[in-house]
Amino acid sequence: MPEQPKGTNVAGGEPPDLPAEQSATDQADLSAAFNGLSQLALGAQSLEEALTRIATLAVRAIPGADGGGLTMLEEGRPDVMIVSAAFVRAVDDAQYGIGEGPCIMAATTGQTIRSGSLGNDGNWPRFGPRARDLGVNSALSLPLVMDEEVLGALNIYAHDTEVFDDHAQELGELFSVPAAIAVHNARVLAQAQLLSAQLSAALTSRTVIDQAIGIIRSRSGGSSDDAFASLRTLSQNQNVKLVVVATAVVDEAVRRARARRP
Amino acid sequence: MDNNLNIYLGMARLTEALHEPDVDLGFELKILAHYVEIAVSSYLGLSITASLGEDHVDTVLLIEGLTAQSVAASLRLSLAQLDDTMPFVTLYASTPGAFVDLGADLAFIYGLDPDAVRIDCDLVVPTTSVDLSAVASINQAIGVLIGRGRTLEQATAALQQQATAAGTDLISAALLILASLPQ
Repeated sequence: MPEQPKGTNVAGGEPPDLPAEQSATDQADLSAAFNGLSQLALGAQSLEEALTRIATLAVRAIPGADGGGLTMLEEGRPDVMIVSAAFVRAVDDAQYGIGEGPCIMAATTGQTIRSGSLGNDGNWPRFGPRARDLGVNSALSLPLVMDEEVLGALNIYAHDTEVFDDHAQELGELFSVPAAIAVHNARVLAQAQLLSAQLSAALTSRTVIDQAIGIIRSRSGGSSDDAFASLRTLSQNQNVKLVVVATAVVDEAVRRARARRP
Repeated sequence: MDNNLNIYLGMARLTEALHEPDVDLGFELKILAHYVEIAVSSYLGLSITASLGEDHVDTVLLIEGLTAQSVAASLRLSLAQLDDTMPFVTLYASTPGAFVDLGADLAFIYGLDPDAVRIDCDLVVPTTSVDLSAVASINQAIGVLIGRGRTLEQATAALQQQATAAGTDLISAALLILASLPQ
């Protein structure tokens, strides 16, 4: 393993010997978090709600954590960002604004990234001091990996220095496996719902747009492309959606038909 | 024309109808296929079906990524709990039982109605999907008849009558009406 700058630890390490009482408490927290993960919600929830719940459970599972966030990647770029506490939003905004930090490194390398002193961490000379100024000194970033693809990362933060030890990292890595599956399943469902809803709306819109195209063609001839271009021009000039213009055309023609044929 | 190309042209046409600058239905479809591929390695493709028309007949809107491969597992996600008219998505895979975990997780963890997740009940893959350009022609012909002084209901009935009288289907009758227009 290449030498890491001060404060950073990339994965690995034997779990330390812990007092029995501490170990039992951590195990209970982890079990509770796993249990929460398996019963994420008994009721339909949005992707954002599901991800927020996962981030909250991660904070509960990892000893010493003060807050956490979850960043999803889309085509290698951060997409959905969820936080369990307000201060996490500030830290993550700084991280993605600057373009460096433990989460970005975890997502890029697919490895756990740990830092006990962000302000002195040579890996992130711009982000580290900024995080310290925001009152965050320790970070544990866990990549969410499924089928060798990095879906995103769980970012766990603490205010104090040197909070996350090997044991916390081990618990976090244990938690990140089912969390990645839960995150991914949420993503499949959300994408299927999104596509279905958009397709449904498009089909409804397309029906009335085609009827309006037929009405325009019956009046002025021309191709369907010409009629569609007329509708689009009207839509742009009036600054309203195509379907609104099309509905107005159909409604007006139907109103005239009714007036002629009572 | 390549079947997938046809799908994406149809999706582009539908995207245009949405008039949403951030939406690209073809891209959204690719994303969904990519996500499923990560969860299920033997994933083959998907179909999207909707209840169309007054009779709410289940009509396959598109078939993506499927050729003549043998399907051994399926997962139908009915998202009707959000909206009765919402299309449903069916995923197909070549390995038996491939969707058991994903289906169970979606049903249990996300609180979907048990009827909304149907595992391995749709092993016969649809081979043809509705031709969206044919649907467009039918709606345009109805528009022509409205433009000639009929209400929507009268126009729909008139198109049906013309098809019956000529002994053809709706699409042929619609194309005849459109062909009669001056160019």
